[in-house]
Amino acid sequence: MSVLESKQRVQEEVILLIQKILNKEVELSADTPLAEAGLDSMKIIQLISNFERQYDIEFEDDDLIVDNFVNTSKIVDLLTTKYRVGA
Amino acid sequence: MKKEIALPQNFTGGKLEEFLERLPYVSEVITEVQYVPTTHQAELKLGTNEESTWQVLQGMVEELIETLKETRIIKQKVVFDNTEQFDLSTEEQAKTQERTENFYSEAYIQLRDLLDGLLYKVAQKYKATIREYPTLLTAENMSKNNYHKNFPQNVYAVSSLPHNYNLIKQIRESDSSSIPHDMFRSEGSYLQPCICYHCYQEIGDQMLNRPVVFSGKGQCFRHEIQWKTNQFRRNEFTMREIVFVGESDWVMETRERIMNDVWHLFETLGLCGRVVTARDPFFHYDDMKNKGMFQMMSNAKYELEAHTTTGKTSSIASFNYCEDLLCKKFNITNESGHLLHSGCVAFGIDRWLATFIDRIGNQPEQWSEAIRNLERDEVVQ
Repeated sequence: MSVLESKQRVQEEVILLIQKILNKEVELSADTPLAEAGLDSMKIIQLISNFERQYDIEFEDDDLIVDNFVNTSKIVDLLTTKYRVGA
Repeated sequence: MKKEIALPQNFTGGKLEEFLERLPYVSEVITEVQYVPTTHQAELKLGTNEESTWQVLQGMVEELIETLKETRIIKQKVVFDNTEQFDLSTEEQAKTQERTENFYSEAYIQLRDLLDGLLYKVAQKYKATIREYPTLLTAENMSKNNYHKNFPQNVYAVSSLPHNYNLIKQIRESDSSSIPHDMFRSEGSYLQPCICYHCYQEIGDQMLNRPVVFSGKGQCFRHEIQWKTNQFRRNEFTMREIVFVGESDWVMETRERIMNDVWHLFETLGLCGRVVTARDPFFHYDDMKNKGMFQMMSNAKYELEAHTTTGKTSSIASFNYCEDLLCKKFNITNESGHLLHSGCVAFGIDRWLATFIDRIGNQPEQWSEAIRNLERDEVVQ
């Protein structure tokens, strides 16, 4: 699987997880602000803990900054580049 | 009686601190908590010898441990730090005794007012509108700011005797030296835990066409763990706050500028400490897990942590970014109807006084050099 395909797959998984947390289907492009989609601070924490469980990773403290979780593009970058998710 | 609790191996650093901070709130039966590093245990002194009480308590402590196991405590980010300039390993004993009196001497009052005057100057630099508010906070305000839900452990509520002749006569004629508690009626108001909620109330339901800055000082009240109170941690204390409301970028920038000014002031006074990211002591365990973690992730709160000569730390100022949370609760928008953002900087004046005395000395003649430094300082002036 190419890097692009792998990122695409992770992107889809991330969106599915967000929809599960929001308990509804939402249209999300890579740079849609997640706050606009209804993901508040509590749900972001839920999302982080779901990522850690689903991908068996533990985010480093330095990566736990809001800016890394503002849209799916940033999340996918962090997951695939630093934590090798989908590799 | 004394009891020991074995702690999970990963209870170190921030997680251990959080546990030890939380433990006294489990029950007032706990009258002392000590950490024993050699055995990695918490030692509890209890105000009872009843095993049955301990059994109930044990379950509550276990719940706290289990919650903390699942809580992510993000390590603090350090913004400023001058502790290396102070040789903390050879710190002499505190220059002043632990404060036990419930009054300030005239010299201490003058010093406290002088320190507050410096913080007032910071507020003036940002053209703050100066305010003095009532000590009582209305139930309506509390229901908006939600302090009582986030920090119920700190709340003091106000009650009074109903204006009822028969009832009051009954008290006068009673043999009892006190008034039975059930005669009191809740007023629905609270003793203010901080100043800023009054500012939000003042500008509530308004559309602002420019940013606003307020500063107020007053007596604040928080129900602390009694055996932990000292000159730094009090049930009643003086707080000054600077509150600023505007568009998000301006609020963030203002907070940063005030933080720089306050750090400069702190250093010029010759005090030792750090500015670090912080989390509020949310009482409920789910808030501790979620809100606390998000605060750290979003740098929503910084604290100026003073280091005393006896190795203790105390937060003497906090720098908070509230996003649109409080503006939403109090309906404060810009002219287009979009919610504004807000921030506040809070100073514990008694803690500034205690820190200064601890570090510089308790005699007025020792204070003059630090004061002279300030008089020479262009930024402070």
